[in-house]
Amino acid sequence: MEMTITASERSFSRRTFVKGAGALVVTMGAPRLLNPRAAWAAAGPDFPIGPATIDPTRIDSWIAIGADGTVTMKTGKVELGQGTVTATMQLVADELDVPMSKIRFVQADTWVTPDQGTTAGSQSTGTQNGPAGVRQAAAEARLALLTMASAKLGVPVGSLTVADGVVSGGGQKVSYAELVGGKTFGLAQTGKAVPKPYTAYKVVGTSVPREGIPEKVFGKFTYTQDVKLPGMLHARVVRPPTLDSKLVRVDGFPGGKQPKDLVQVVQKGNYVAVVAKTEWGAIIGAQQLEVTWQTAPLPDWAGFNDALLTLGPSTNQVIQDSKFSNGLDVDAVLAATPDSNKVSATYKYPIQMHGSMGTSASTADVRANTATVWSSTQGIYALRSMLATALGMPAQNIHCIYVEGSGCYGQNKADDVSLDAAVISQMVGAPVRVQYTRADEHAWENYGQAYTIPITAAFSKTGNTAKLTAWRRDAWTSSRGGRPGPPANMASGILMGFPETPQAQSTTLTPSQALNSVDGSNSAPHYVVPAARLTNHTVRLAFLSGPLRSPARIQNTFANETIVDELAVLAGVDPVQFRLDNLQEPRLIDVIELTAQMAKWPARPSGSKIGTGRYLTGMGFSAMRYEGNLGYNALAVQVTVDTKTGKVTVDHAWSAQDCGPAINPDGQRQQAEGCLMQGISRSLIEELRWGPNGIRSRDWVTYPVIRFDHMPTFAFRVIDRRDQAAVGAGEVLITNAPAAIGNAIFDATGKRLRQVPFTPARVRAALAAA
Amino acid sequence: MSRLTIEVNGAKHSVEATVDTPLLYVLRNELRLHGPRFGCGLAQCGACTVHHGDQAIRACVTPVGAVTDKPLTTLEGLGTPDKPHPLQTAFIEHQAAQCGYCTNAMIMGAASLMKLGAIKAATSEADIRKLMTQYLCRCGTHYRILAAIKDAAQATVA
Repeated sequence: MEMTITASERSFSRRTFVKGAGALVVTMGAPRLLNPRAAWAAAGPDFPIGPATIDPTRIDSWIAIGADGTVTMKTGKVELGQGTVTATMQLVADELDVPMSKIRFVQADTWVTPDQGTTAGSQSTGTQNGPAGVRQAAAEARLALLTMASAKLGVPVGSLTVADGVVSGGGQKVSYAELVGGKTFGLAQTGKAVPKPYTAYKVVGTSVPREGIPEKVFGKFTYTQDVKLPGMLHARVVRPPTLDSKLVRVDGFPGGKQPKDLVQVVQKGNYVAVVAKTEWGAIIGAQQLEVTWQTAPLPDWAGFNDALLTLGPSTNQVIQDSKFSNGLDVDAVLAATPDSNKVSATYKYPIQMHGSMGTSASTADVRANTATVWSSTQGIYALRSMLATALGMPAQNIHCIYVEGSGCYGQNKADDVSLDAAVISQMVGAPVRVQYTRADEHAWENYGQAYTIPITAAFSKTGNTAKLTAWRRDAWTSSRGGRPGPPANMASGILMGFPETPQAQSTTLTPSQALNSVDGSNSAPHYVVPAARLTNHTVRLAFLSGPLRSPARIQNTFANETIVDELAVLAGVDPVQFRLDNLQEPRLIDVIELTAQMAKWPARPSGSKIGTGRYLTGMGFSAMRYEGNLGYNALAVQVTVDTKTGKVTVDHAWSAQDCGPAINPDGQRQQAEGCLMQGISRSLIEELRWGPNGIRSRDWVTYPVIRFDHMPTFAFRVIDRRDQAAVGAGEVLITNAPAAIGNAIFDATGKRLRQVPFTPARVRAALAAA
Repeated sequence: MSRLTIEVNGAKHSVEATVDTPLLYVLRNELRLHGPRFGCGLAQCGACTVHHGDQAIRACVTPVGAVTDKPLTTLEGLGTPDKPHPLQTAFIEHQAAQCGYCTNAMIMGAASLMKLGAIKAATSEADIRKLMTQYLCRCGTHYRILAAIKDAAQATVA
């Protein structure tokens, strides 16, 4: 299948641009700040430039009723393979009382959909961001339709009912299609429409089958990788050994013999790419092109987590300090606590990758003054802004269209490859498709960050109850680049020579958060602790970083939920009981209690019943509230440790989860299953490897991921809270995986692993240690 | 550059390509068949799996010149919405896809194992898992995929 390109997108000419420019007062090279409706009205078929913005206050920006009664939902959120769009369609179906079969959708398109930010983390539900999202707009559309029907039927709005898109009242009927079908509403959102409560929804709360699955199963689905344009060329990027290496010269092809199908070698700063008529020609050309680089070496791999503390300069922040709230000095409290009541430990988390199954691809058609780019970015407007900088073109002249790609789990290379395609297309003056090689994807990502987290925490014990008294925690990480905007937030932008955003200056030592608050990074424990100081330190190193499923939160939760386990051991208290004794948040308590019940949790101090023989089993627990209030999850696992090889197997997993109302329960379950498998993978085997002269994790052998041979049994239950806000379920359970598994290894062996992943070598070393 | 004839999904196609061009690019770019996908180019993940006869092969590393001897089948040719393969029916029933990029690997891989008799109605879950370990999924859809394969194996007379 090919994407269809409308005539207007293809027929741009200088003449029409000037004609339009006259009317719209365009300054070339500068962003045009236009009234969007005026711009849209002016953008006729011979002036193919879209509106500057899609006005989110208009009903028409979100909902369209077709002449046949179909409802088109326009969402700035995107389907990343997790069912978000289907769940959002369910909300629209219920708000408008139309069946799912009559709902269509358009997702993230800078000419069509409002800017709803990034589809990421727990902001992925279509109800969030933007300002009020699709749910509110659908409620506004319903109110507008009922008002129209009331006028037409002469029946007050309060006496009207809707079923299957037909409004009834006073013995009369009128359909949505008859009221506004094929026309626009032409109305602003009033802010007065009130969405139905979750308790009144009928489609929401059911497991509606996911959009797109039949097409995927029959090979008919169009991924970004499948977008093809007439006259399109293929390009592949030729990368240096490391990110900060410098191009010395492009030496050319062996013996000066150009590969078949080669069109051009393009160069921009340290960036080199090969363009060919065919895809295989581009691949061969990139393989054969000889380039001399001056290599900037990477830091030492083995000591990287320790070096985070010394490789500075760092950006330093105090995020919580009880001295500023209740006057308690955590250092004084810890100094006065005997060793029998405190634990001091350092937790280490590696650099990990998104590891999309499909390598990122993008197709771009950049003309003299306009550009069209097909991308699987998570943020279509942020991408447009980045491309405006890179192409030197007003943002409004760039049309970015989302097409679903391979699952990304955060910022994979979808943005970067769109930058490649657009810049190369501009350089060669033809439509260009770029798809990365496996090594491009593996070795040039904006990786999930490494963290090193030293914590000292203490408790006091009265009878069998231990209460946390102090918590001093410092987190060290490395951050460089990130999501678009600036092109230099990603590898190709840096190689092209765009300027990187300078590292933030050290901030003052005034805490930025209230004591015992749980921030968007899960920095703080979710327990009540009277004396605490939490700091964050960020250095900038040779690796790019970007959000990876539960960014910062999986690392922080690993540290927090492991030291809690260590404190419980020291206190001689069951780890689940220890958690409950120090918690106040009722929704978190509920998922903990339900999970413990599902797992038939054997209440006893962890590691108190270590077996004998080669294979040892143990159970571990972890719980957290995601980003403070965006989802609650508890996870219990049972593991088997092969004490001879050090191999850890997760045999059973139990989990209860609360993400507010379960819009699509089966969808939430599927996300939990995915979180469990990816969570085991990241806990046990995933770790970026490199040498001084480059990344060594370049394929699925050098960076393996979990396979069918490692699948625990899995019991999962959803707590459906229809009185709460809906939040995303894609990153919740995974956050608990490393701590739960590490705690289970301790329960089985009595040995504590404080560095992820728990590889056989690390397990053997822990078992051999005294 | 050679002109080669390959049989794909029951139809013969004359294609122009160097004999060492991997089959994947011929299928995707010349024949516009997007069921097989590029995942690694190294025969490590299975995203490009097609059938050569009944045998699953990795189209990303198989030269087109090496497959002119037997008919090829892609996901598009395995079944259609009107005449679905039991695996396709079961994958929809179990919602056995998240991003779906590996769906081709899973269905074409399992279908070949079924054709060759390695997966039958009586095959244990543990054995299916062992056989499917050569195919990679990153979304963690393994539970659904496994359930779908078990169902399809039951639905097919062994």
